[in-house]
This record gives sequence, C-alpha cells and structure tokens, in this order.
Amino acid sequence: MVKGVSFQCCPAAMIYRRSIAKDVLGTDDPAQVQAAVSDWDKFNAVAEQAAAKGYLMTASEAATYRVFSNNVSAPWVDGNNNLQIDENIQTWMKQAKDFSDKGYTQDCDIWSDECTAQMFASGKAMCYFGPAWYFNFSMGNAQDAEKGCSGDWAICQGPQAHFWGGTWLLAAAGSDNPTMLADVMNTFINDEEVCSLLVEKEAQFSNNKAVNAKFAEDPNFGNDFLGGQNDTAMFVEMAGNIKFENQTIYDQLLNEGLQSNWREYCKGTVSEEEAMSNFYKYVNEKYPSIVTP
Amino acid sequence: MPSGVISSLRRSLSLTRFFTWPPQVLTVYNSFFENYREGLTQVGPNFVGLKNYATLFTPDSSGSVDILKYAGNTVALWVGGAVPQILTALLLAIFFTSCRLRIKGQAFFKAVIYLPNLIMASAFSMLFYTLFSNVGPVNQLLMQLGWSDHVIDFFAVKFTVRGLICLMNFLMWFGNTTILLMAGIMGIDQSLFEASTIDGASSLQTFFRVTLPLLTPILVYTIITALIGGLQMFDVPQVLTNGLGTPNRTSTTLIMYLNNYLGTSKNYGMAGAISWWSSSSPPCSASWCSSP
Repeated sequence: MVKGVSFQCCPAAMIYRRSIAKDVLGTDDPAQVQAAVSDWDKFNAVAEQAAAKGYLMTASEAATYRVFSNNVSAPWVDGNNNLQIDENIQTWMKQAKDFSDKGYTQDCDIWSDECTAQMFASGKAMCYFGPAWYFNFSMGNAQDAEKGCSGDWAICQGPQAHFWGGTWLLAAAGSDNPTMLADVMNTFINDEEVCSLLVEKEAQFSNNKAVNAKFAEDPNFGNDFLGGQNDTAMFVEMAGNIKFENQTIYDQLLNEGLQSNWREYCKGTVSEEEAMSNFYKYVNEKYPSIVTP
Repeated sequence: MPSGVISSLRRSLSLTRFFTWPPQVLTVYNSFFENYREGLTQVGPNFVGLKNYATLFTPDSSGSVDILKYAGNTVALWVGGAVPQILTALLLAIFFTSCRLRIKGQAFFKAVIYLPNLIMASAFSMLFYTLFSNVGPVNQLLMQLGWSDHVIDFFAVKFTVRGLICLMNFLMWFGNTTILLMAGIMGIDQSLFEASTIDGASSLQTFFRVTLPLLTPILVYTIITALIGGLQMFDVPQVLTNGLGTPNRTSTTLIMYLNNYLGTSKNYGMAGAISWWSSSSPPCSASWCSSP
C-alpha cells in the first residue's frame, strides 16, 4: 500500500560558480569542470588551485559530507548494534580538517549565514552541493536581484553521485477524505501537465520519468539560474548512479552530530580524541541502544 | 496568627503538594526504568534498578564524570550572571530610593531596565547569536574600527561563550531584581534613615548599618529565586550554542543535558535520573529547605 509519495526526485549535483571556475580552471563548461573534479584527489587538487587564487573551494567543511556519506560501504551500525565509522566518512573527516587548516573552506554549518553569505556575487566559494530544490530553497542569496549572481552557476556530477532530501506527501491515518488524498498524490506524480509546471516554473526535478525525459531532450529548455544549462538532463543521468543500500534510520542525527562535533576539532578548539568522545556522548544521548567505543 | 489565616494557608499548601508531589514521585519512579524511543520503535519500559544512575556516573574516556562537569558549568554560569546582577541591582535600588539624590524620570528608567525581561529568553539569545556570529555586526564593527584584523569566533572560546551567557542573564534580570530590592528598601522605616543622618552617619555607614541588615530578608529571597532560576538555566545557552554547549561542552548546563536525553530519544529513564540527581544535589536541596 502506498502511504506517501514524493513529488521531487533528488539526485544532487556539484553546483559551481561559473566565473570562479573560469578563473581557476580556465573553463566553465560542465563537462570540462566535471573532468577536473571527477574524483576526490582531483577535487582536492582543484581546491588548492582555487585557494591559490584567493577563493574557497566550499563555503563549509560539511558541504562535501553528504557526497561521502551517501557512498558508504557499510551502514552506521553493524549487526551487533556497534557504531562503525565507514572509511568514506573517515576520508571526509581527513578532508574537512585538511581544508580547514589550509583555508580552503570555512568552519561553519551548511545552513549558517556564514555559509550562505558566500552565495552573493561578492562571495568567494566555488562549490556547493545540492539537488534541484537547493536552488530555490537555499540559494536565496544567489538569486537576490541586487547582490546575487543568478546565471553565474552551473552543475556537474562532482566526485561521487549523491542525493539529498525531498519533500513527501503523506496520508494521515484516519483521514476523512482518502480519495481526495489519492487524487492529490496522483496529480503530483502522474499528471504530466502539473509535473511540467514544477520543472518550468519551480525549477524542480520532478518525480515523473516521462516529463523529465521530455525536458532532458528539449534543446530549448534551460534553467536561467544556471545560465541556461539544461539541469534536468544532468539530473536524469545522475539519478541512475545513486546508492541507497546503506541508509539507516540513524543517518540524519548521526550525520549532523558528527559534523558539529568534528567542526570543533577543525576549528582547533578540541583535540581529535575530545571531538570523538563528544560525538560518542552525542550518539549515546540520541540512541541509547548503539554501542560506542 | 488567627486560625482562619492558618487554615487558608493549609489549603493552599495541600494544593501545592497535590500538584508538585506526583510529578516528583513519578520522576524518581521513571528513573529506575529503561524507557526510550528509537526512531518509531518504543523500547521498554523495563525495570533496570539503578542502572541509569550507574550510567550517569560512569567516567568518560578522559576520566571525568559528565554530570559533575555540567553541574560545574551551571554553577559557573549562574555565579557569573547573578553576582553582577545583584550588586548592580542593589546599587540602582539605593540610587532610586535615595531621598537625597531624588533622581528625575525614575518611572522611565525603571521601565527601561525592566524591558529586556519582557523579551523571550530564546529570542534574546537568538539576537545575541546573530550579533556575535562570524558574519554578524559585532565582528564587522571590530574589523572596520581596526580593533581586530581577523574574524573573532566568539563561539569557539569558553570565556566568550560563557561571558555572553552571563551578560544575557544579567541584562534580562537586573531590572527585575532592582524593582524587588527597591520595594524592600521602601519598606524600611524612613525615620531610621533620617535618624542616622542626624547622628552624622555617612552614606556608606547608613548602607552597611541600616539598609543592608533590614534588607536581608528580601535580599535572601532574591538570591534564592536567582539560584533556582540559575539551576534551571536552559534556553539562553541552548539557543546560543545550538544545543551543543560549545566549546567542548563547557557551556552545557544540567537542563541542557536533560534535554539531550529527552529531545529525540525521549529517554525518560536517564532524564529521570538526571533531574532527580540535580534536584537533590546540595545547592538545590539548600534552596528547598530555606524556601518559605
């Protein structure tokens, strides 16, 4: 039985500033930028180049976190309820400290004003990571009519495929109008006219393959925010590479907790042991059943 | 006292007992159970005896016991806010009630110093967070004035985080305390002040020999209510540090610790143990015993 559906599909991309990419890499073409950041070693090398020119690679050391955590080879918790920190997460931890020490990024939360302030035209950050909803929901500063830089952005896959969030339409138990609920849900995922409007007017990536394919193949379709790039075509391609098998119910809180506790280590206010000890305390408070080292 | 007064007091006391004892007894009862949620799954309640208390007092890898550390944080934050608050309030109360000074526009000043108390603590805290954040106006001002050549991360330093929390508590409560102490001073017979002046006492002598001894009951009341408020400190540090008690949990208070357990996992067992320990610990029991 279907209890809820999402009207969005949320493969996420690396969203980069065209002008900064031109300055750092000599190109803002998505294919060429993708070639320059296609794996983490290359990404880190570009970060060094960007820093040499006075830019930030990312606006928060946690910006890349989701790309790593979506590609873990094992879930947060093993069969015996022991906490395990995947190799990919550990790679992020090393990268975060490294970026922070070398000034490639800022030590702040991805939702903080400090992070989003870099989206203004005056901002120095080259890359953000996010799906289609990120443009409207989180990049208000970039879309600002006066101080923003709409059109100076583009997307490419980035080092690894990932996804992020999405809004769900859920039917509440005991609803008095189930047929209407079903109708609303159906409209948002199956009505091609409505789904097309979502793509055209709201710059979303719809949850309808036919509609997405239609826009992906349309040579005249482009997202003005991304300088006319056909983002739907990119997202269709990326959606196929997403890995889901290691998702758990613990993900959101443990991801947030690791980021915020590790940030203190990146800032240098605590030692590595203290940061991990604080993270384990956080885990014990949120999930008493998980066994921490 | 006439018997009518006593019987009416007895009624209100029994009502107070009726509303305060059951939750307290339930808190203790809950602290002996394993009882929490994990996602959508409810675990327990299973009786575990004193296990929650044992967990509470298990030292971490560095050998320190968390709850004692948080109790220490709470006391430090309380002292840092309450001492300047009471001293300032005492000074202002004396100025405002002095018949020699006769300060003009008293009503205006009383309203102004009380105003910060009208703002919701969490909103006040959010305001300070915005002011002192890395991209906030305080940092911009310091840089433009040339007092600092780099962004100061106020939330990464124990001294500044605690200082901001103390400052906020001070600002929110000194007006309230001033008004209470003024009421206390105005309750003192004016002729005593006149007599001391005629006897040639200086202002300081009048303060220490007349005002302070007669103000003691109100002062003690103020300190006790401030102590209770201080032990319950939660919203200001919670909002200012986004619940993390940064840096290194040095601004985590007892109630923030309690909230960490209650917030998502609804861990009534651990939360019960924390609140029972906090409320029966020495400073709190002292305020229980001495409260009227």
